[in-house]
Amino acid sequence: MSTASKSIVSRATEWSLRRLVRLWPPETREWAAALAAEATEIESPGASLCWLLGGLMFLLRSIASHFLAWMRLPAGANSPLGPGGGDPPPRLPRHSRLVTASFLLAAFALLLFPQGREAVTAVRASWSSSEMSASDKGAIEDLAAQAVRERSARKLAFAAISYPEQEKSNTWAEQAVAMDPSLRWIYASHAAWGMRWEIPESHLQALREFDPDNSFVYLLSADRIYRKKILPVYDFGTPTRAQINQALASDPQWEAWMEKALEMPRYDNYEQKRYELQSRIWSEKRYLSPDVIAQSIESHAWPDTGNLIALGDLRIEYAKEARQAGNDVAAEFTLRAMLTFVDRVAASGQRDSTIAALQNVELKCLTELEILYKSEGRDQDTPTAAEKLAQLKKAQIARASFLETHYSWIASFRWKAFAVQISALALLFLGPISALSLVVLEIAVSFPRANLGLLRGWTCFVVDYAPFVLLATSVTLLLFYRPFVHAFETFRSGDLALTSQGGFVFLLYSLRFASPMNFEVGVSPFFWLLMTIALSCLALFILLRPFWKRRAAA
Amino acid sequence: MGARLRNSRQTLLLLEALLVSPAHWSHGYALSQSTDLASGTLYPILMRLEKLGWLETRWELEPKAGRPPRHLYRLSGNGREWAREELRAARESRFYKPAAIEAAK
Repeated sequence: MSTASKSIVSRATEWSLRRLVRLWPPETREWAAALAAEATEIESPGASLCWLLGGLMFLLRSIASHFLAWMRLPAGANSPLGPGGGDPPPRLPRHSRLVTASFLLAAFALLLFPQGREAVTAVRASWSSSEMSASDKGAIEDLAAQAVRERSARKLAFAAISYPEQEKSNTWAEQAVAMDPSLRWIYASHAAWGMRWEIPESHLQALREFDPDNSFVYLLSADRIYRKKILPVYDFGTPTRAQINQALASDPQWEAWMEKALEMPRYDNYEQKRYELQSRIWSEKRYLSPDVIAQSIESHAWPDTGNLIALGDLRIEYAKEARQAGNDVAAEFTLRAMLTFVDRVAASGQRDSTIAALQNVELKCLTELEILYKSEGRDQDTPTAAEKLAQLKKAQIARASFLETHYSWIASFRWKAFAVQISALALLFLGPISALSLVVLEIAVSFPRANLGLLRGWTCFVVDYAPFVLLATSVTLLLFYRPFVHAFETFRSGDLALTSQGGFVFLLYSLRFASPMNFEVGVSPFFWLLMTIALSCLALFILLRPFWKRRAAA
Repeated sequence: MGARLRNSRQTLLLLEALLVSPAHWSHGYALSQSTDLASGTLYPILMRLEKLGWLETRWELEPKAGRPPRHLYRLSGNGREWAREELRAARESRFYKPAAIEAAK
């Protein structure tokens, strides 16, 4: 049959197979040429197509078997004789590519498991020298974009309380509240950012309208004045308590907000609501690094304890004045109102510094109450005040003991964090060096006449040992990261007591404290200097070993 | 000898076809037609038979004008003996039915 009378399919098959022959591995290319030559004899288009498909299957099988044979050789070898077959044949790694690749793949596969991915995200975030890593910021921005697409107020609220830039955070918070007005509490949880930002008056107004019988919103309103009035004073030295009290007492608006706070029947600082939101979102978005969670805890508004102390001092002053003026009823009422307020605030789950301030105020009030009862001759009431004082001291001791246990648990994470960081650093060192050595050996195959000299010895040594060490390091990283996973799971489950959250922030930040990028913690630079020296010695040993071996052989 | 051959049904079909006229050189497409094997199955078996030394191969010396030379195949002396033995053993087993019997059905 002439070529002209052939169908398009047959001609296309012939043409395709002739071109495909070039893709066949050299050892089977002759067979591919045989298969292609047969295509010229096939007349039917259907049979031609089948022949072509069979040819493609044959090509895939040939490539696969060529690849397997290549994998059974050590890196840098193209045939069992060695690279280029020089005299003497150049040194090759001891293990086949299959063994090397298996170790490397296993090492990286471990890091692809959920726990491994979490560890990598956490370590990567901790290496950022800025307040929040670019990857964390990107993750929050993605979450916010997703929230807008899905119209998910919760996700947008979480993005708002976690993001470290005020403008975006404010916008997201307002969008989230517009979608779900019951989320208005986030105005107290997003904009404070460790009280470095000022909560806008419009947000405070919205909070007061949203939750009018909650002392906390008035305390926040008073705190805005406190920060404006008192914090600048610290620029000229630490003011005395009397100076602070005087400055605040002279501001009727501050006192008005504090009085309002004292009057209200409830105290809810929205920590529980924030925690519920965080634990839900972190359970859903496990890729978020612990830094994001820590910073969203830190962004919660905490009225300065100075407000409470100043209010306590002023109340005690009023009580004293009332007592001296013979108005014992007013004195007792003033002190009792303050004690009730302090109890209410303390019961809402506070941070350590606030609890210490509250206990201080309570002690002072109780002491003043005791004086009042004694001066009135109310001996039957005096023991009550004394008992309360004793109870308070007991509570202080119990709290101290709890804090000791809690902080020693948190401190135990410090060395684990260092172990995680060292493993991660070793991975970062060994991964690229293994890849580079493999590339050097494989490229050298194409240049059989090139003499790599010592470089060949180094690369073979690295290819022999680094993949195994890499696997061991991945396992070590995951083992030391495990306790963090358990601790984070407790947080995600929603079972973590709010009173423990102050300390938990340290746990969330422990990887950052142990990070080689952190130069703020005393031990870190020294520790990392030692690590750098140790790794340099290891690198030097790897570089010089073949040289020593060659000298010994000579 | 490094390679080994798995006596699959396809291999036996090919051996049967090659034994029809053992001295005669066959083309790949003709073998494919007589055995009903696809090219993707046929050529790997031919390759293995050749590697084991049971198949002789050569290129056409005088190809048709305008056509590439074709590859030709026949069983070697050892190959023929081995193939007959394998087919006999296969016929005795109940798992293999020769192509002729299958075709008669």
